[in-house]
Amino acid sequence: MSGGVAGCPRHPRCETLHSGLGGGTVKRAPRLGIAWETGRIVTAQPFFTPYASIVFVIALVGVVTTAMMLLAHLVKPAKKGAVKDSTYESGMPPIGDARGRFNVRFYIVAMRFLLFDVEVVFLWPWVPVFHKAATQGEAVTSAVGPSAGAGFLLAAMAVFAGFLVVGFAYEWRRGMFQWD
Amino acid sequence: MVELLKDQFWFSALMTVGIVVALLTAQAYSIYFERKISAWIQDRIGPNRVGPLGLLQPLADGGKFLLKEDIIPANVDKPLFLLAPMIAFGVAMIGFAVLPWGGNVDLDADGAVDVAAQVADPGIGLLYILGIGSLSVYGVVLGGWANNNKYAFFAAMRSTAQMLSYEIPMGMAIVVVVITAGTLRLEDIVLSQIGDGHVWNIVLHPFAFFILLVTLFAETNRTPFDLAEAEQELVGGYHTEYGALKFGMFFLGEYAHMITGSGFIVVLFLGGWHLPGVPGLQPGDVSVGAMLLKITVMAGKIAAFMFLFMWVRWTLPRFRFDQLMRLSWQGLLPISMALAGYATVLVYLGKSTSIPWALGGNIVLLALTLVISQLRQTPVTGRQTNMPAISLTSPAKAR
Repeated sequence: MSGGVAGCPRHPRCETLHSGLGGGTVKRAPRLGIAWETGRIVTAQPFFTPYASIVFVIALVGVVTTAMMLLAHLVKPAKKGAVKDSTYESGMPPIGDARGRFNVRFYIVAMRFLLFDVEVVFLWPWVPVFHKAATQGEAVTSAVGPSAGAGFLLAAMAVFAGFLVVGFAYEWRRGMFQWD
Repeated sequence: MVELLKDQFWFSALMTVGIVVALLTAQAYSIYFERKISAWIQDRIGPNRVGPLGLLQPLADGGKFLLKEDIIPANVDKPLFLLAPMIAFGVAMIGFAVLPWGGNVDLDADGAVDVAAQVADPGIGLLYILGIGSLSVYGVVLGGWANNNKYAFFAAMRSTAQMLSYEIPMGMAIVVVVITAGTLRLEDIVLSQIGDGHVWNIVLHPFAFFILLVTLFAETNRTPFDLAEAEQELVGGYHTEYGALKFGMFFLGEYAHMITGSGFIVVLFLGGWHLPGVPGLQPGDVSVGAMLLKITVMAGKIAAFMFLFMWVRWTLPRFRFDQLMRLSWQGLLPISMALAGYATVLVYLGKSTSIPWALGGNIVLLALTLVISQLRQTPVTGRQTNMPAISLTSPAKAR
């Protein structure tokens, strides 16, 4: 599995795919990461290809969506009128504008969301690293400090999550989660 | 042709076209089945006029959406008004791109794997799906804002607060799976649930599965969390001013979101395309026939979740807004944080795939939750304090 096909560093799936194509020499184009094998794009590159497919999906869905809007715009009947074009307010003439002030409680929800979501975002890169360290015993080397094992990683996250839990308990005590 | 399809990009392109067509059809028929199932639950007949069993109803609906007059009210924010349905629909349609449908495939039967039956397989597939999922809030917010309508504005505020609140327990419940599997790649998450000593994550962490399911209901604005379009109080919610196909796109987008969300939960907790012990559905089966079988199984699991969505919609009443907020911040969030912490400790102890440890912890936490929720008195909200007490048992005695 290891050290097989060039251009597939430690990537079993990519190697399977390449050896399936005859295992020719895979040259890697600089920077973009497209691999070429005798003139044509080789399948399943570890980095670039998935994103090309995602771009294709987004483009196709964009075309479908725009086409639907355009088609509806071309087909629909259109008879404008002052009453017809006014804002719906249960049949009464609309009073004022809708863009007034809104309750501050919604703003607080947004603030809280930022706090907690940042924590979840911090978790994502930590999780695979920790899993690798815990199951395969691989220590993580850092550029600035000494290398760290699973125990250190767990302790680091415990400290980080601990701060958050304290903040969470404080908010709870202060009644921040009370809507009414 | 086969030579071209052996290139992952072209195979993905073919799959993309196929899935987009299938999704559009599935959305239209989801509406049909929603109506049929609601009729079944309420002991009615449901749509039965257009075609046999009413099966052509989606076509008739589509034609009607297209031919209706499409009013753009005078005081709306026109660019955003046009953009919002496109975002709501488009964003819901691109989430499927990273779902693993059928594992690896050997197209020319020469014993070597050629492509993966998956549109895109980035190493961060899970982050992609989460990111796209959280973009869907923009469709609602922009729609509600652009309408310049008070009902729509209130609905947009409510809906934003709701989606934001439920995103955090959702993230935490997903962390439970990711820490067990050790990867963010969706195909690898499926593979981590297969093989000797490995079971579907729902067996290991049923409580986390339930939390993810609840948050998924909230994220897709389905009953009992459909406060964004609570028709009794907000007319149509954030799409009050929309008509014709623009409304149709919000409507279809909701179903696309449900389908992608169901696929997501199937991959994370129910083994994706895998059924234990069934030949043809194992990672080693790479023939084209096995791929089609795997896709069918995956679609079947998604359909089961769609049925659950509809069943719940026509069974449960809607939450009140303060109950909704309390459930998220004081219920699901601490529970999911505890679950994620427990799963992390299990990985550290090397017990992450041990059924007694994982399942036992889940059961203990569930019991703890039930006990605490019984001990904690439900807080009386400000409005309720001003109300006279009502005795439900004996009105005569209450006076």
